[in-house]
Amino acid sequence: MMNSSDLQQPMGSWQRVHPVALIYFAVQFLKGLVSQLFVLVPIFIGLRSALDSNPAAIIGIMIGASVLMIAYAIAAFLAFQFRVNQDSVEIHKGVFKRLKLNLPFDKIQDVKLEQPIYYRWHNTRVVMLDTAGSAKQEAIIVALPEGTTNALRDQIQQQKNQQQTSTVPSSDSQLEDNEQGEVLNRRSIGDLIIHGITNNRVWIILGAFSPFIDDAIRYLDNYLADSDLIAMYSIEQQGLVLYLTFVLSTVLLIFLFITLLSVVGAIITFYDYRLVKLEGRLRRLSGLLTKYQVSINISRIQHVEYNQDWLDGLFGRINLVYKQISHTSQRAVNDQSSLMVPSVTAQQSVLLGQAAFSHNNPFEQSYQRISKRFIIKYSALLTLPFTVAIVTVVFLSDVSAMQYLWLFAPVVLQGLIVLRWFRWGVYHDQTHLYVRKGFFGVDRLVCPLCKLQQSDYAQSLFQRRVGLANIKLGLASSVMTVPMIKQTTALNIINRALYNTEFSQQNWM
Amino acid sequence: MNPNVTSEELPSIEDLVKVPLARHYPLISMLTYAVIDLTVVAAGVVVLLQPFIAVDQNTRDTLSILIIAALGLGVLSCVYQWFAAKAKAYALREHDISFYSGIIFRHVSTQPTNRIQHVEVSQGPIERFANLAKLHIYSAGSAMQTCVIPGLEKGKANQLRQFLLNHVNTESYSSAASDNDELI
Repeated sequence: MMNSSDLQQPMGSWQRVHPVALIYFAVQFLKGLVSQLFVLVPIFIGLRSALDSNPAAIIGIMIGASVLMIAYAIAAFLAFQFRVNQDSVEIHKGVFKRLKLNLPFDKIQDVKLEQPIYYRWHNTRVVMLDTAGSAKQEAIIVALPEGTTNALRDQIQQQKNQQQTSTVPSSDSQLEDNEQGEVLNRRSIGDLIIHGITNNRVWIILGAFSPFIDDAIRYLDNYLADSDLIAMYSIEQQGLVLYLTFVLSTVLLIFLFITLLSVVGAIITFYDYRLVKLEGRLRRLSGLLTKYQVSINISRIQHVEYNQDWLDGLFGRINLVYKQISHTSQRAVNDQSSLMVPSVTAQQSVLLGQAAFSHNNPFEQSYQRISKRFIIKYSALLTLPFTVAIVTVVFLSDVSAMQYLWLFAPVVLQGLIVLRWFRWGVYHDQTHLYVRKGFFGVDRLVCPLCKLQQSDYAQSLFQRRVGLANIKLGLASSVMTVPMIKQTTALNIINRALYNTEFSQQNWM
Repeated sequence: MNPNVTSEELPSIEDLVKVPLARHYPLISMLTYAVIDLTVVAAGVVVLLQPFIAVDQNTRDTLSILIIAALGLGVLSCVYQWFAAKAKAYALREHDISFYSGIIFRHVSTQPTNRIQHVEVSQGPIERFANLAKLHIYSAGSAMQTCVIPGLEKGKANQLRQFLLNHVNTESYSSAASDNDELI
């Protein structure tokens, strides 16, 4: 364990990162090469005859590529320098294109730590300094020893606390390791299995194996071409019972395979999950291969989402998501603007939600459902034209019996519209807004009204006549939209939100 | 903050006093669309009348229909712009600014001054000619982050900008204040 002296020593002077970063840069080089593979394919095709006649050239090319990779890694390592000043971090990097970044601590929204598997031996970490601004300003320090990492993170946090409040929390406990603080929640392997089943985490696996997907598909294609699938799935040759058995077992096998992959994905991402509360921050620690540490400032949480898909509903589980300032440049796979607690029970979720800001149980509120005119509006705007189009196509053109099934599509669409209406509701008290919405699943969103950034009250002439209105409350995290509610409720929410925002002394971040 | 203020006692956006935009804004807004439309129509007429390249009868007929349609749409959009501009207004309170818009769907967008990150005044070429300006108000977040009030006289736009900036600087006790100093 390190203390602040880890950082005090080199403060203000330019430093290089740990030499293990050479592996990081080499991996970056390889990733770049793989992503550009399609450019290299024509070159290899052109050289194929030359390579066929001289196989040793392949070894030469591989050696050349390896030398290039090593040279790039060394150059990138040497070019990468950083220094920590009193109130900012400076980074100089780039081999071909030099980049000079200067990040004041008060612009840094989050400090995130990652530990790729090849960093474990030296106990080093990747530090990502996330800003509230554009992606250009995001800075990554590629390899720092654990002690320095923690000291840097704590120094930034301490500096920000000094700027945000007049009191200076200078306790040494801030510089302690991650294990400090109150553990709010842990997720067991059982919980992660449930999470894998109820939430599709297949993309994690697909993302990891994306360079090999083309090869896998080609192999599968060849394999299927060799097997006599037509005979296997033919009613004439197998009989109806056997045919149905084949189809059902194939579908079940595919589902089982996808579910298994999803469970593995959930375990890879959330293994050893801990949610820790420390010094006004929530910290998520998890990960089997790459260890993730995402940390968010509680005061910056804009709203909390209680998400429950229909499968979650069967298991009685909820994904709780803390949402802070959203970025347009976020990477979708690793959304750092939010922090999720996977598959907790309803009771756990309420307690965890209240760790962000005190609010009532969102499952026990009497939500005011939006007007039934919502169904009429979207039936006229979507279902009616869609039905006319489908009926026209089906009856005017020469279609097969199977294609008559398309006539059910408008029924499905209408069902979705009714479900949407059924779910959408709103409730508010003097301090918070509660929005319920969804289709098959139910999402409940809660935000303090004083976090409002901008409001929009809208009313068509028809809605005015029947006393309905639409509202949008713009938060820094997203927009809370509720259509077609009673005009009095809409005005109450907007007026209350504006009043709380303008007259409360609470910060929005 | 006084948490015991009842809904009836709350200041309401229904009670705002609307301030109309510049008197000549509807005319300028309509003229802008008329100029764009007439440019398109003129281009079509030039193609029809030019003596250099032969245009067959079918193309001439199609082009004539398109020109008439463009003229009709132009008239409709000019009329719409006139009424849309007339429907726009703003309202200023001590702690927020609201913008009214829409003919059939009426919107009231309200921006609390203590959530403003950045204020800008912009002028396009036609607006410069008519001494009009747009006021852009930015708050945090990815969506709904701007509120744009068009059709302000330039002096009024700058005055509003200064009013908002003064309030941002005095009201913003959040950490965002440090950003504002640089941004504004």
